[in-house]
Amino acid sequence: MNVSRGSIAWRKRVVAVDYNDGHPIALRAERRGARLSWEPVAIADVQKLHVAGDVVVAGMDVGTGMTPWLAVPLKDVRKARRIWPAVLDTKLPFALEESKYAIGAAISGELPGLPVLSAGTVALSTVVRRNDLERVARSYGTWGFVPHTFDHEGLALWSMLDPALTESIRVVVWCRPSSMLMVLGMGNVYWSSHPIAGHDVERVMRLLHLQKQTVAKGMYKDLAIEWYVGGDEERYHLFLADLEGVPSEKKQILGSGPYGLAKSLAARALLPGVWRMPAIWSDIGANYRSSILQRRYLRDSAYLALLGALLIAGVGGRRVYVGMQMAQQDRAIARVVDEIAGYRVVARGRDAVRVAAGELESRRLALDVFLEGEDLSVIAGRLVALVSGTGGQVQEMALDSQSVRLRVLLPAENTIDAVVQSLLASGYRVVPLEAGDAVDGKVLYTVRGERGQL
Amino acid sequence: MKWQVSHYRNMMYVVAGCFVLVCLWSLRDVLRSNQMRAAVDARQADQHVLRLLQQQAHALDADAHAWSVDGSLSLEMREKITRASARVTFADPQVVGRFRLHKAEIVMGQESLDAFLARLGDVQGLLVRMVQMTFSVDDRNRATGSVELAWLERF
Repeated sequence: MNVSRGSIAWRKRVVAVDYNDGHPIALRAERRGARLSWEPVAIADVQKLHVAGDVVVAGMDVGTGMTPWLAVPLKDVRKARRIWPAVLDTKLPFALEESKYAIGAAISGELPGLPVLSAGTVALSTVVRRNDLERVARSYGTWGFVPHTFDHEGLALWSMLDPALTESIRVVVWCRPSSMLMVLGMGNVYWSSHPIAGHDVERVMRLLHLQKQTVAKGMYKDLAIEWYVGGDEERYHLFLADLEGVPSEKKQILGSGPYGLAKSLAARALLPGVWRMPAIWSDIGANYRSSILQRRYLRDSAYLALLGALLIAGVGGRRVYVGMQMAQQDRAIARVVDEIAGYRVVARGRDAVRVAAGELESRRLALDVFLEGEDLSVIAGRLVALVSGTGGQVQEMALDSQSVRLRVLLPAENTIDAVVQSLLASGYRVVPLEAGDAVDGKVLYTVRGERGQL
Repeated sequence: MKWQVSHYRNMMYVVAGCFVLVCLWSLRDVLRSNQMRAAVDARQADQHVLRLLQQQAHALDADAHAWSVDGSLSLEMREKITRASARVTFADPQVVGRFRLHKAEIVMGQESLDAFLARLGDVQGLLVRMVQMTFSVDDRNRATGSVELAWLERF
């Protein structure tokens, strides 16, 4: 079963008005979550609420509005929707153009209890002649207002039942002081509504019998009957007394008091449920709805535009902030790079850092000779003195901060160890040692050394 | 022309469309924010590296400054080195940071190595450093070769 939104679900409050045997009654209902709270209001006060902006929904009596079932042999709901008006036109005793109508949710699957046999798509509709609608609307003019929307009393009465998937025919009778309203259906499925003048129980039974024989070609005629009564307490007790002896599955009291139907009208307008129909708007209601919708569209557009502007401002502002932060960092980097390099460096980013590091390295290499612990002349002097002290002679020397090469002629009884130790103490690592043959009691040594990693 | 409800509705759809575009643009910007953050982080890392380089540069300058002389003293040193040997060649000064690096090459000519080193010792007191030294000595203890000296002039 399709659950639909209330016909005016976009509002939070409505005023529901209805005639109870010719006497108008009104209540003001408000949606609170999934519940409805309501309070009766004097009909004379409805005008003020109407002016204040409350939507007024009125009941259409069963004699004014019709609820024909529509059926098309199409499974495609979209296609069915397109031809509903034509199908509805064939069901009406007047032209469709002379009426206002609403068509409920389409049912294309199996649903037990449907009053029409169809392998395609079916839907319940509500139709009212424009003249009849205007007459009802004008009738409220005495109290200074015109209802905005109309809903069918029979459907409102059916909506008072608790949802049940029973396979029984449900008969709902709403008793008023001088009339009755009768609604039939099976399980959750609404069939039809009938006005009953006076307290004619026999007519009720006749209608029930007729419906059992005709609905869905009589396929539900053997089902048990459940009775639901409500409305005027005195009247429905009389009705129940008349039902004594009638075989029935169940007899239940729906509620007493005149406000039951009006409350159901309000619930159908505000709360979701089954058999909810789109609202049928009066002319003034349509204008009201247009102005409400215009305001809503304008308001939503303004909100969206404002949100968009805030998003743009937020994202743009963040971009500008990060851009400024990056520019500031770039300037700081460029300043330090220029300071390290000693000139204005054109490169930017990582390249600039590389340039600075390269400049620093080349400066370090250039100044390396000043950063060494010992001057090369001291090393050279010490080596010459060391070799001379043993009676030997330095024949060749090539010395710089990174390498040393020596050719030393030493007496045969001496070793080169002292020279090697001196070079090691000065930070040179001695590479290979070559010793020549002794000539005139002296040996020629060749020493190579380097600083840093070998 | 008076605006109808449908006009207002269409206007709302247009605004809603623009809003969706703005949302997509914002989403794209948010997704790209990691790249921007990475760029900022990379710059911070560069700044950190540069701070270390800057400290090293300052330390290098401080060390070199101890060996540097002013312009007048530099001229004096040049004259003394000139007097130390008849065969001196001065290279063009090289700018190294806040200093000028002067280099002079002295060629030994068949003289006693000890005497040469003694003369060099006189020059050493002038904040001069030896860059390299190459010589060979013959049987009569006469050395031939060259010595490259350097000193720093601050400016």
